[in-house]
Amino acid sequence: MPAGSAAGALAAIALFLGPGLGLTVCLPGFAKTGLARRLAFAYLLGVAWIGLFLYAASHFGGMPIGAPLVFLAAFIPLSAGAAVAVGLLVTRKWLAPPAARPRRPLQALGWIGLSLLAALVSFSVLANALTHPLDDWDGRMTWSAQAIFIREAGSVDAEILRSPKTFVSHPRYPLLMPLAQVAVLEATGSDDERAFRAVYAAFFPALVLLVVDAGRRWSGRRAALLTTFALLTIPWIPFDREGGAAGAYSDLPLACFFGGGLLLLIRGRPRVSHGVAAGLLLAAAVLTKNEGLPEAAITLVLAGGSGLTALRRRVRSVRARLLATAAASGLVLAAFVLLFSWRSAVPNRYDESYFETFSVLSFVSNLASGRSFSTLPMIAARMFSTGMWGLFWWSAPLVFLTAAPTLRRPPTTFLAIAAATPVVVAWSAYSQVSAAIYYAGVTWNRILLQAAVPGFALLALAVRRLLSAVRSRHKA
Amino acid sequence: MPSTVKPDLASPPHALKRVRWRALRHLRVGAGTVALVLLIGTGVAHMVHRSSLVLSDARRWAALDLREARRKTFGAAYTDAIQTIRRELPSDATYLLVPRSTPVGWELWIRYDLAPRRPILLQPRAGGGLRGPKGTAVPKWVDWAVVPGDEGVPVLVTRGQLLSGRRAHDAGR
Repeated sequence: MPAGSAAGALAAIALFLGPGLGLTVCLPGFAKTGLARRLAFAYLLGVAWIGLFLYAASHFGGMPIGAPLVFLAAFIPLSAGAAVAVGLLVTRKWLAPPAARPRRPLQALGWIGLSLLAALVSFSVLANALTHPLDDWDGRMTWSAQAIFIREAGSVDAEILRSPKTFVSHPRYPLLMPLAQVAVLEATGSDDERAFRAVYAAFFPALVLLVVDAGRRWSGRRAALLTTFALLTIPWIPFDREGGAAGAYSDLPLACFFGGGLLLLIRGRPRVSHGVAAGLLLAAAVLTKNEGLPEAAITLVLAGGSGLTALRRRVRSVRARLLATAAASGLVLAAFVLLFSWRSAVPNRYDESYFETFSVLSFVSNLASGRSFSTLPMIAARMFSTGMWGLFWWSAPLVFLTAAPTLRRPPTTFLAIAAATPVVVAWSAYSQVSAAIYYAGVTWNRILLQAAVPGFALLALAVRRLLSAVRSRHKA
Repeated sequence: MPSTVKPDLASPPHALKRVRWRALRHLRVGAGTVALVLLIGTGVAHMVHRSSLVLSDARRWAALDLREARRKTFGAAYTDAIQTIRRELPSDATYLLVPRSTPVGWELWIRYDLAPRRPILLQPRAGGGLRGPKGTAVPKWVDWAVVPGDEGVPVLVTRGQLLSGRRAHDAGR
């Protein structure tokens, strides 16, 4: 592995991890968070913060995007985090994460095995990123091309995006991930695309840790362990260039932002700082891909719904839930205003024009469109491809059906709605394009990836029921 | 009057139902367990194997610098042609880009490799010649064009060379 690109990759990951850790120190909701979970959220918050900062500073503030602005964006949370950490250490208020409960030897072995497998897969994705040039379709067509254009212009309002004659694919796609690429290249002072490829590779371990967190929260350790093993059996998510961690598509980052925001907001007693962190992640989702907007919106609706349910049941956490939701909503609204303002000056061309023809009525009627149903054979071919998914879609539905969790319990319903959102949005969009089968073929796996965190949390609930059924059978 | 019948003395149809229900439940739990074990067992073995392949491939590529890696990925002729055009065309230049019918997306690759140079995409006109974006004429203020050469290798030509070549092509049809 070339030493230069390895150093660049480490610098790229540290550029986001450092400020993210600063944010998790500043936000008291992460005080009792364990190291692995904290690292995952820190990485996501770091990418979200730097991307949002550059986007807003460039568009609203007219500040040139370059190394000074990138370092300023990183310096603010880093220094704030360091100051808070010193303060906590001086006043001895630093909360150590709760000590791990003693585990059974078999389970401990399972966690060691899971960690080794996750590390092996993540390291191999990183090694691939550091040695191969970028050669995936959407990365070269849209995300990385846009990154080069805005880096050259030093602005998200680059002339090439605004000029109607220039050949730019999807010029109105949100720019958060291209900005993350620019941040890496500016910070490392390099043009080497292998540096920013490492940023995408690092989203894979973040996704794994989010799935562990979701599983443990709602289904317990054993179900979380088995469910995360199930995630790690899917080859395409880490290794595929067309949408997986080995490419420069924005779907994996979106899956992490959406899933992370959901995990922070849908909880028994969220703190306002959870709401702020969730707001940052959901705002990043809005500015990462078009699908991020409905996914962030549904997360806020579910969080608001859980607040109202608590109000009806007169549960004590009503205020906490509503405050956290309000904090997150404020940040998402700000991101929406930014996106709307930036996009209004960019003429659309070389795009499918979903937004130009969108209406709620057409969205609903599209769900029953024959064109969408015509994609079913392609969807089935994608899902049952063992090269892409391994045996996941041959086995997981069986696990789920044999121990399906009841929909009446709140986390199950919320998770099912969240997991269904990207799928429903894509299903409706397929009816709007003439080559629906082609589009289903190139997007369906990525749509499922976007639903990964709530989807695997649902699977974990089923695995827990299966495990308890097996245990009761043994007892009998 | 409350029933005092003990479970094991239940009427035969009820007992049979319970046995069937239990068998079905056992079958369900068994099927779910087997599916989970199969998924994780085969999947973990496959992922360890796949990761080792990716790692050994990365080890082979690690000796290459970025240019060599690009030559190996996209072909030496293509990579060298891109390097030549990047040297000749200033980074703030605008150029006309003529697509290639196959493979689909050739122009997308060229645009990325020549970025941040600004492309204006041209398309063949039905009656011959070329048209600019939204059916407009080929812009006169752009001096350079990138056209597909043999086997997709891009070639930099002047606007005049592009148009005269196109006229000759249309006349020969």
